[in-house]
Amino acid sequence: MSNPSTAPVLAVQNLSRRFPGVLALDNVSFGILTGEVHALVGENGAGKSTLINILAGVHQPSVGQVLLDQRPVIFPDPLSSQRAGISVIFQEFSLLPHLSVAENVFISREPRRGLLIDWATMNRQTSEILRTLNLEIDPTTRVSELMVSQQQLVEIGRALSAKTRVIIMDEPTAALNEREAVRLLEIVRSLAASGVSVLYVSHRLEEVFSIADRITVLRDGRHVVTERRSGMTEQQVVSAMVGRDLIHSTRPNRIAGPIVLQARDVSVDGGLIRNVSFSLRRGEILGLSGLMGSGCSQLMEALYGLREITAGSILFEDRPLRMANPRAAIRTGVGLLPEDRKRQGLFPDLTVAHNLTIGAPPRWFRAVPGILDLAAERCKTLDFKRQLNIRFRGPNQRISGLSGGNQQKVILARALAGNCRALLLAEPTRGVDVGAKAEIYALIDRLVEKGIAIILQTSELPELLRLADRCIVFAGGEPQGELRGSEITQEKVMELATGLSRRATVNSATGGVE
Amino acid sequence: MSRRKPRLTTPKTQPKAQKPLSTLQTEKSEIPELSVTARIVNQLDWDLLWERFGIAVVTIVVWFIAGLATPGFANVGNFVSVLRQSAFVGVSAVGMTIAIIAGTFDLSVGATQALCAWVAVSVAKMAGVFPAFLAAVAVGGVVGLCNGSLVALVRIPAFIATLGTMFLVNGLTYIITNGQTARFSGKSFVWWGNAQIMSVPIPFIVFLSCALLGAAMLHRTEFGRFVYAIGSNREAANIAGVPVAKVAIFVFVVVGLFTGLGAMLLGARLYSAGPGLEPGFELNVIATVVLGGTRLAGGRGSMLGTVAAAILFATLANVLNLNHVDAFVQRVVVGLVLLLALSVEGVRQRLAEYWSRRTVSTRHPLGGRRSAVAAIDEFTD
Amino acid sequence: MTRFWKDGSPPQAARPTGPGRRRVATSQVGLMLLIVGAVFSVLAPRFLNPGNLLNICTSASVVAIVGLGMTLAIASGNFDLSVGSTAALAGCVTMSLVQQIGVVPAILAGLATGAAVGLINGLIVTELRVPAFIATLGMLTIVRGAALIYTRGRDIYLYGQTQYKILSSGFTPVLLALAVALVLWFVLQHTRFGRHILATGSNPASAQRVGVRTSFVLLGVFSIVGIAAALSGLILSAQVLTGNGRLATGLELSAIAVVVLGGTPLTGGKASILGTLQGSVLVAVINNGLNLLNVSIFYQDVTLGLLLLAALGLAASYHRRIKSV
Repeated sequence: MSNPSTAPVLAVQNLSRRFPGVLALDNVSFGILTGEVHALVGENGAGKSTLINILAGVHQPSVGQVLLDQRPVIFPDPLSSQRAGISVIFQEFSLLPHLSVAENVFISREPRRGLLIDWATMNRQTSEILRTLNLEIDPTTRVSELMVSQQQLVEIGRALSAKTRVIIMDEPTAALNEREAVRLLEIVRSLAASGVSVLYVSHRLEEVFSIADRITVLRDGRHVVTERRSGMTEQQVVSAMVGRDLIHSTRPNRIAGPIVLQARDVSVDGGLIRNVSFSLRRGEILGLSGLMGSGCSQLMEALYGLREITAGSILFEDRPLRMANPRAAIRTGVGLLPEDRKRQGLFPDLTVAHNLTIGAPPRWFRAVPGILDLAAERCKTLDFKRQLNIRFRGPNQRISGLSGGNQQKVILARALAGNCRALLLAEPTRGVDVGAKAEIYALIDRLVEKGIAIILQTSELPELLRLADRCIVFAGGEPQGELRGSEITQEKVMELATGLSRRATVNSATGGVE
Repeated sequence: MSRRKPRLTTPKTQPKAQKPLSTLQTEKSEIPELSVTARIVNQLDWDLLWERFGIAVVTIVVWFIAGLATPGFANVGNFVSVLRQSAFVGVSAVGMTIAIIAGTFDLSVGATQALCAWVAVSVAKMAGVFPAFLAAVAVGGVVGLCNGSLVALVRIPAFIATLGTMFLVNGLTYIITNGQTARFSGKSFVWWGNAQIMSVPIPFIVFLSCALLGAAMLHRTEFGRFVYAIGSNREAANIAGVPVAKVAIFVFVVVGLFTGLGAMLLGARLYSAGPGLEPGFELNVIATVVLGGTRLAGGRGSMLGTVAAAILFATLANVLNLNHVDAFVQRVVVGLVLLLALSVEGVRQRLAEYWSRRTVSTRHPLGGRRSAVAAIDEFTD
Repeated sequence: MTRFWKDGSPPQAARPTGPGRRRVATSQVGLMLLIVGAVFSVLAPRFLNPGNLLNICTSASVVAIVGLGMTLAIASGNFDLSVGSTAALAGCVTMSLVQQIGVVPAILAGLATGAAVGLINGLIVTELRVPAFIATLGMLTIVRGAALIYTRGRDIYLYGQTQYKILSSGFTPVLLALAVALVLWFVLQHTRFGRHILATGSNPASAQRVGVRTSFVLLGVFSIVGIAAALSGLILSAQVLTGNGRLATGLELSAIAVVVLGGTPLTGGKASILGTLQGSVLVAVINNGLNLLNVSIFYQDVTLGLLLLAALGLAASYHRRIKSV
C-alpha cells in the first residue's frame, strides 16, 4: 500500500521510444515525488533528452506510459504538458528575446482587462515572482538584454507563475559561472522546500550530490538504478553511468615524436580565450577539458580557422599558421571532427560516399579540376570502410540509415581523407553507444601510432583519462594547468576546471538519514 | 547509516522487483517486429523513387488522358508544339534546379530573360547568331554574378536580394530599350527558335542538352558535390572545407547563364523581344523545378524531374488552349499546380505528425517510416 | 522547416545587446527624408507646391497602408508577395458592385475579399506548411488571374461617382493611413494578439513550446495584410475610378521596401510602425521628385530597387558586426 506522501507526482512506466535506426529509451520506469529534487544522470546518448521530450509533450512514447498522480496521461503537445503542471527548462531556453521579462513570464497567460493587456498587474506580479528568486530587475527589460543566468531565472519565473508542480531542468548550470551556479542550486532547494518537484538533469556529479534527494541513472536508454542520494557514492554513480570498470581499457604508453604544432600566448576573438601556450607532438594525444563555457570548443574552432586568432602565434611544422577558414586549415594539414555531428557534420540527404569524400573529392585527372572520378570515390569509401570498420550496406546508402557510431566514423574518415597531420577531435563519442565507443578509442590509438598528432576536446572525463597523454584544463577562457600521464584524474581535472580545491560536499561519506 | 535495497516507491505500478545495486542488470524491452511485407515496403526508398520518376510517370499518364479526352492533341504537329513550348521555361529551370538543390533560388529570372532576349535580338541584328548567343549568355551571367555577390558576400537573404534585382533589371531593361521592342527575322537566327530536326524542335534539343549538361554538373563534378552539400547542411559544408561563398556565387551565375540561353531561344522564336516580356515567368520556372520533385529545402533534386515537369506544364497549357480556356485561367492553373506540388511536402509532414500522435506507430505497415531528414531532426540525444 | 540561407549561424541564446538599433534606423530615415526633400525642393520648383505635397501624401498613404500590413507580416517572420494582386482584386470587386449595392457595402465587400485572400494565404502557410514567400508568390499569380477573370480582362468604369471618389480625394487617404497606423500600433502594443505576433516572429519554435497559438496568430496576420492590401487597392481604384485587373502591379516590392527602410528587421520580432510611415513618405518623395524632374518611371523602379538593396546591405553588415561580439 502506498503512503500518500510518498506517492510520486510524476512517473514513467515501461517507457520506450524508438527512432529509425536506434532505440533511444528501453523500458524505463521511475517516479518523482512531491517536493523532491530528483537528479537524472547519464552520459551523452543515455536517453535523458528523449525522456525530457516525452515528459514535455514533444515526443510520444513508442511503448509505455507517463503517469501523473498515478493516472496515465498522454501529452500530445507541449501545451498539454504545461497545463498539467510540468514545466521544462531546456538548455537553449524557450524565451522570446524581443519581448520583456514580464511578457515572457506570463506568455499566453497575460492578465487582461477586457481586450487590453493589464501591464500594471503583469509587471507587479512578475516583480514579486522575481523577488522570490532574488532577481532584482525591471520587469519591462527586454530579455535579450539580460545575462544568461538572469534569463534562466526568467524561465523559472515562468514556471512558477504557471503554478507548476514539476520543473525539469536540462543541464541548468552548463552556461553559468561558479557563483551563478551556487545561486541556482539554492533556488532549486527552496523550490523543492515549497512543494515543487525538480527533475534535475545533469552529469555534474558534484552538484547532483549537493542537492539531490534521489538519483536516477540511465545508461544506453535503459534504467539502471534509482536510489536515495545518501545511499550512493559518486563512484557508484559513475560506474552505473559507464557500466564497466574504467580500468579495463588502458591508455597505451606512447612515445611522442617531434613537435608538430606550437602555440604561444594565443588569444582568440580578442580575449574570449587568453594566454594559451602549448606544444603538440607527433604520436601524442593532447586533451582539452573544462566545464561548458570554459573555452575549449572555441579554441578548437580557432585552430581550424572558424574563429579568429587575435594575438600570439601558432607554428605548424615550424611555419607560422594563418587560417582564414576551414578550407585553408585542411590544406595546411589540420582536420576536425566536429562536436555536433547533426548540425556540423552530417549531410543527411546524401550518401555515405558523398559524406566521406566531400572534403577532397577525387579528381579524374589531377590536372582537370572539377570532374570527379567516381570509381576512385567508391574505392576510397570502401577502403575507409575496411580501415575503420564502418558498417554500412554500400557506398550509396544514405547516411541517415547508419547508427550514430558509424556516422561518426564516416566523418572521422572524412577528416582523415584530407591527409591531415594534426587531427582535432571534438567530443568524438557523443551520441555513440558503448560498443562503438570502444572501437573508436581503439581507432584513435591506431591513428596516433601512425604518427598523427591529436588534440582531443571532451567533456567526458573517463574518455579523457582513457585517451589523453597530456591534458590542459580550462576555466573562464584561460588555461588553468597542464596534467601529464598519471596526474590526469577526475578529481584533479575537476579541481582545475572549477577553479576550487575539492570540498567535501558529498554527504554519502558522512552518511545521514533523511 | 543502514544501506537499504533500492526500491521504486510506486509499488502499485511497479511490476518487477528491483535488483540490488551490485548486479546493475537491466531488462530489454519488447517492441513488436514488423511483418515481412512491411519490412520490404520499408526498405524501398519511396521518397527517392517518387522524386526521380514520379513526375515522368504523371506526365505520361496525363498524355494518355489528354490524348483520349481532347481532340487535336494526339498528332505530331501538336506534340512538336508542346515540346517546343516546354523548352523556354525548361532551359531556365535547369539552372534553377541547381539553385534550389543548393538551398536557394532566384526570383529575377523573368526580368533577366527579358533583358537577355532583347540583347540577343539586337546583337543578332548587328553581328549574327554566335555573337548574339555570347552576348545573351554573358549578360545573364553578369546578372547572376550580381545576385550571387549580394547573397553570398553581402549576405542579403536570397529571396529579397533577387526580388530587388528583379526590379532593378526590369527598370534597366525599360531604360535601355526605351520601351521599344527589337525585331529581327534573320533566317539563321530564327532557325534556333522555330526549326525542327526529324520532327523534334530545335529548342527542345537545346533544352535536353542543357538538362544533360546540368545533370552532369550535378553528378560528375566537384561543383555538383558542393552544391548538394551546401543545400543539405550549409554549416557542415563550411566545416568540411567547401568554399561556400564561391560556390554560391557560381550557382547564381549558372542560373543567369542558362536563363540567357533560354532567352535567346525565345527571342529567336518570337522574332522579337522587348521589356515586360513574360510576366510570371519566375513562378513558372520555380514551379517546374518543384513539381519535378526537387525539394525546396535543398540537398536533393532531380534533373529528369525538371524535364518531365517542363513538358507537363507545356502539356497543360496546350490542353487548356485546345479547350479554348482563357489565358488568365492558364496562369491561375500554374499557380495552383505550384501550390499543390509544394503542399505535398507539408501534407506529408502533417501526416507524419498525426501518426506519431497516436502511440505505437510500429504496428502501422509503414510504421516509423518518415523522411530521413525528419528522422535525423528528431533524434536529439 | 525549410533550410534557406539565413545569414550565418543558427539562432543562439539571446546575448545582451546594446540599445535598440531601431532608434538609430528611424532617425536615419528621418534624416534621409530631410536631405532628399531639401534636394528636390531646390531642383524642382514645383515640389513645394501644396497640390504637389498633397500628391505626395496620397501616394505615401497608399503604400503606407499596405506597408503597415506588411510590417505585421514581417514582424511575425513571414512575407506576403500577393498584396498587389489582392489590391487589384479588391478594387475590381468593389468597382463592380458600387452601382448595384451602394458605396459602403461595396467597400465592405472589397475589404472582405482582401480578408478572404489573406485567410487563404494563412491557411496555406499554417496548414500546408508551405513557406510564406513561395506560397504568396503562387497566390500572386492566382489572385491576379482571378482579378483578370473577374473583369474578363476589361476595365470597369464608373462615371461621375463622386461619392466613391471621396476615398482618394483630399486628406482621406492620409487619414485612413494614420488611422490604420494607430490601430495596428495599438494592437501590437496593448493586445495579447499583437504581442503574440511579435513572439511568433521572435522565435517561432519557443513560442509554440510556451503556448502561443502560432497558427491562429498567423491566420490573423495574413488576414490583416489582406484587408490592408484591399484598402490600398480601393484607394487606387478610386483615384482613377476604374477597376482594372492590372492595378497595383509591383505594389508588393514597394510595400516590403518601405518596411525595410523603416527599420523593421526582416528576421521578425520587432515592428516599427513609425518607421514604415517614414519609409512610405521617403519613397513617395523620391518618386514624386523624380517625376517632376521628368525622369522616366523606370528609373524610379531602379532607384527603389537600389535603395532596398542598399538598406538591406547596411542592415546585414551591421548584424555581422554585432554577431562577431
